[in-house]
Amino acid sequence: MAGHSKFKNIMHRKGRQDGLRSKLFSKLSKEITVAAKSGMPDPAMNSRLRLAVQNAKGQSMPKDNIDRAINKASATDGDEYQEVRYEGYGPGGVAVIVEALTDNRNRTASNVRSTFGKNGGTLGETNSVSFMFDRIGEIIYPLKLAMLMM
Amino acid sequence: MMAALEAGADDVISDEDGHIIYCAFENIGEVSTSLAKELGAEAESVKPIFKPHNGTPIDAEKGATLLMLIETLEEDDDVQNVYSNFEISDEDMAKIEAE
Repeated sequence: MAGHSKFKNIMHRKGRQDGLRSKLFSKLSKEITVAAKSGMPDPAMNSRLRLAVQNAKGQSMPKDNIDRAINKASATDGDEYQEVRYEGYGPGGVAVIVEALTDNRNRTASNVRSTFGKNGGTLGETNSVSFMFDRIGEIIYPLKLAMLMM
Repeated sequence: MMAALEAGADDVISDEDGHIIYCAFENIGEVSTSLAKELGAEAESVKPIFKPHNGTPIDAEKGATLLMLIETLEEDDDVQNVYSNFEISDEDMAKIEAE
């Protein structure tokens, strides 16, 4: 994404990293739970779960948290999460896609809509902006492996 | 970066933060597995994303609002990922940072 790394730098400098980190863990666990529910609860047999677990490990999420997230998928009283995608325009006609996992679509839709509204954007129809994007795979390696890869 | 291309990646972008490897959505499992084997290290993250075809340039004033929009969306507990096609010049980025 253009300007992506610079944007990350700003976020870091603002000193919000700690708050974001705990949010990151909860987002990673949610993805694990949903992935485990979408197929077999075994990473060896469920590629989405395998990726989710790998990403959680990549962010140093403790193994206990990962196991708990997988077990949560088989709990009968667990929350039902749905995947929802919102598409809209931000200020200056910039296209924005938001992916959410929610147990309450009404709440999420209204939050997302109001966030767009308060920050000079508008929420559009599904597929109103996604045609301007490619769905592709992204693999990130930290810089310290640079020498190995050259 | 030959390792990545041999593993079936379409594109590799390296900057001061690290390496970003792009591949076809369908091949993500295959490419990441063979890359991890080749390098002897797991990636920091492997995920399907939305990558914009073209960037939309945006000035400092609107950029600041846009970054606020993205940040607020990402802080929402239900939101997993936010993608955007903005392009902000280094100059304008510095202005936003200074605020």
